[in-house]
Amino acid sequence: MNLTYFLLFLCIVGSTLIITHWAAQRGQTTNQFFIAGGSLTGFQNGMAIAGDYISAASFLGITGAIAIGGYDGFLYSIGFLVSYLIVLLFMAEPVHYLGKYSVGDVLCARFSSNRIRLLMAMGAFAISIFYMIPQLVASGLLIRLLLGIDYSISVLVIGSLMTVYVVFGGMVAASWVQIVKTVLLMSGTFLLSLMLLARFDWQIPLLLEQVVEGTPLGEQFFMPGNLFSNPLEVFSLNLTLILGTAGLPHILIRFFTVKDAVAVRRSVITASWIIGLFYVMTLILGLGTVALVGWWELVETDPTGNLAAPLLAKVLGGDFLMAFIAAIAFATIVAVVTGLVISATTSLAHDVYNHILRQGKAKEQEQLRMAKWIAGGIGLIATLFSLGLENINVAFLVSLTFVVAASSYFPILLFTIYWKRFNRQGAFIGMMSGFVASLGLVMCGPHIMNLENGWISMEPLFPLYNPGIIAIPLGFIGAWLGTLFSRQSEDEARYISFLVQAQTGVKTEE
Amino acid sequence: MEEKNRSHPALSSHPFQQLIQRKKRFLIPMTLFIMLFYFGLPLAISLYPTWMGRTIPGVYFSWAWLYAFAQLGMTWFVGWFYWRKAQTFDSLVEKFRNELRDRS
Repeated sequence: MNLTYFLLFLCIVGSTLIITHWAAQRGQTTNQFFIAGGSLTGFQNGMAIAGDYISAASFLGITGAIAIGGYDGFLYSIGFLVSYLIVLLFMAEPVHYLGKYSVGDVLCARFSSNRIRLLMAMGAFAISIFYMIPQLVASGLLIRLLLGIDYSISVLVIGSLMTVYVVFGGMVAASWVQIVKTVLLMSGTFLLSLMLLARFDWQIPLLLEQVVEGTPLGEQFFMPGNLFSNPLEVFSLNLTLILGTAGLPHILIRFFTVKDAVAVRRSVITASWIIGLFYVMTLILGLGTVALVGWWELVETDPTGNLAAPLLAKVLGGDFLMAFIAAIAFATIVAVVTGLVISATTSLAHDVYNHILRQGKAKEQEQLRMAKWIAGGIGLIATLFSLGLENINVAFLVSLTFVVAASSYFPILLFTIYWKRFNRQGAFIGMMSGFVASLGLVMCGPHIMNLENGWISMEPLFPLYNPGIIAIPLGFIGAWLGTLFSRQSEDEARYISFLVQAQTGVKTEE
Repeated sequence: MEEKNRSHPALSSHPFQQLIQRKKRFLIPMTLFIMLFYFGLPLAISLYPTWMGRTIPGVYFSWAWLYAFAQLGMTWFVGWFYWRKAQTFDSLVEKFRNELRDRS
């Protein structure tokens, strides 16, 4: 590893640790720890949401997917972006009005039941951990590839950084690490795009001509159908992507960090602009990689295509720019896993410890101390797990996360907020059916059962990589049937005050 | 018992009922539009691949790309539209709050 890399990484680590130190000095209360005291502005929160959401899989993965698959790579971006409309129209404001620290609070505003709270906490925990482990594994592999550092060292560094941010700085530190990451990522990709377009004298047709030269697909590169040949697979993926975001607990808890509904709206709209512009730039970079690096060299360096952006940076600006892009990728990974640690911690510390084990009566200091211990524990365990998974393909966990979110968390949140007759039995069955269906179908699908290099070497029992098209309806049907067959009727007066709170934020106790 | 029979103030509040009505009138058609527009893309590229792959005259990309870019525009447009619409929701919420305050 040369000096340039080392200094750039040191800059990022140093500045984020300064942020954490500042956050730790801003006072230590549970309110600060879990939701940054609700003190972010809408714009800041929008940047933090983008920082929470744009993972290394988006930055490096989509650039690579476009470089390899052309048009089909861009389809991912569209699903990831449009999903924010579902968040904006259905989830963001009610979640802000109903919850205090966790998504479990939202359901318990309607059904005060420890069983439901436990279920939501376990769901949030599972989704966050499923998402965190593949990110950590991918980052270890990536840094090994980029810098030649040992896998375990890079996992240990990222694992301890995310733990330190959360334990000492809580949500305040996490939010600002994410904001800094968004600024770095957007300016880095913008710079790279400008350099690329300048290289082609700002003539997009010239770039496109060069792209055709750089890929074995030729003209076919610009046509749909290079990555997905099965229309059902495309449909299933699109369905999962558009509904998944609205069920991701680490995104939903970000709506507690602002003070009112206007700020909530502004944060979602800001995030949608940042994310949309970012995906336009990944498209430009993906095309640029094909044009300047070429498909053959890209696939030879790394068959997954994940190194597209760094390789392009090297062609455009030499070693320094490549180091800069690698440092940005590092910041990207760190910011995302930090958000996941916060979300997993909230579900255990706030829902399980304070509300279930202590009946909501734990003292402020006890809650805070417990939250810090839990954050430390989660960081440690996730890091240890990731250390052991170096040679195992865990990339399927990322798609599992979105399917679980869309088929278990999303249906019951939607029904809780909008369906008058919904009851706790429906919530329980809906959550379980969506969860079990997504897990089972991924297990029986080609990610796991595959004749070539699958965990189980056999023909897949379920043909699709993405089971959303079956699992999501099952989650909804489970919630619906559970409600109809339980004959349990919820208190009407209570529903009305819940509705009032969800739509206006006014709390009226009967 | 008396407590149970007392109806919730929101039930007789005109601004609140209006808020729920207007939100419904906005959300249902808007959701239908988003879903049709969004799922139209995968449908169009799997049902009419050759047609979608044709280059638009005068421009150097195809209908499939145009539709894909339109999804970005659609997202930003709906976001802006909701932002404007939500201001009328907010004023109804404000009226409802004032009503509650006057009553107590």
